[in-house]
Amino acid sequence: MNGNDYEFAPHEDIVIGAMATRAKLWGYLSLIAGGLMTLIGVGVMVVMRGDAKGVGAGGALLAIALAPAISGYSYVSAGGAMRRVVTSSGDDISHMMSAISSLRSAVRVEVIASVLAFCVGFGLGVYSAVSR
Amino acid sequence: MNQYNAPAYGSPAPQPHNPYQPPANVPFPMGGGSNLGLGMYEFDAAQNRILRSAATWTLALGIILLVQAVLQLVQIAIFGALANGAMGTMLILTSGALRKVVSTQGQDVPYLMKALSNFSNMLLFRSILFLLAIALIGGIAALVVVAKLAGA
Repeated sequence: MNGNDYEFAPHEDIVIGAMATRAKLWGYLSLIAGGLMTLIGVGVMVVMRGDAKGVGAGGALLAIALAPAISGYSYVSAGGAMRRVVTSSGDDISHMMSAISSLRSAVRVEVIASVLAFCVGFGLGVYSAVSR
Repeated sequence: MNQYNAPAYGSPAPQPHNPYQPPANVPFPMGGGSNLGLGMYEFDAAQNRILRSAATWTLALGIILLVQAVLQLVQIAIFGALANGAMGTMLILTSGALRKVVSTQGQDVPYLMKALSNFSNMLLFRSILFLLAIALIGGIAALVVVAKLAGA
C-alpha cells in the first residue's frame, strides 16, 4: 500500500469541500476587487491624462490591483484542486498538495503586498513630514 | 561457515536474513508519503517541505494582521481591530496545525483537517466582511444619489 491510493474519509471530504467553496468565493471576490481597481486606475489615468499627479495615482492603483488579482487567481486554483480531492478518487494526496501550494502562493502574495504597502506608506509619511 | 557452526568466541557471523527484523525504510517509488491504513497517512519529506513553507507564510500573514489590529486599536478603530485580530488569530491557529502535521507522526490527517477548517473559517469571515463593506459603500452611494436627486 503506498501513499498514492490514500482516500480521504467522508467526514474529511466535508471539511475539504467547505474549504474549496470558501477559497473559490474569496478568490472570485479578490479577482472582482482587482478588476474594479484596474478599471478605476485606467479611468483616472484617462480622465487626468494631462496631470502628472493624476496619472501617477492611476498607475499606483493599477500596481495595487495586482495583489488581489494574483492572490485571487491562486485562491481559485486552490479551490479547484480541493474540489478535485472531493470529486476524484485515487489521487487525493496529489490534489491536496497542489491545493496547499496554491494557498501558499496566495498567502505569500498577500504578505509581500502588505509589507510593500507598509514600506511605501511609511516612506510617504516620512517624505511628507520632511517636506513640510 | 553458517550461523549454526560459528565459533563460540569472536564477532558473530553475519546474519544472512532475519525473518523477524523490521521492514526496511524503502521510499515509495512515486515520491508519495505512506498510507498507514485505518485513515492514517504520513506525509513524506518533500510534502512536509511544502507544508512547513505554507505554515511559515500563514504565520507571517497572521502576525501582520495582528499588528494591524493593534495599530487600529491605537487609532480607536474598534471594528477593524476586532476583524483583523480574529483573522490573524485564525491564521496563527492554521499555521500551528500545519506545523504539527510536519512535526508529529500518526496524526497528519487530523491536524491537516484542523488547519483547513481554521483557514476556511478565516476565508468565510473575510468574504462576509468584504460583501458587507460593498453593501455599505453601495448603500451610502445610493443615499447620496437619492439626496442629490431630491435636492434637484
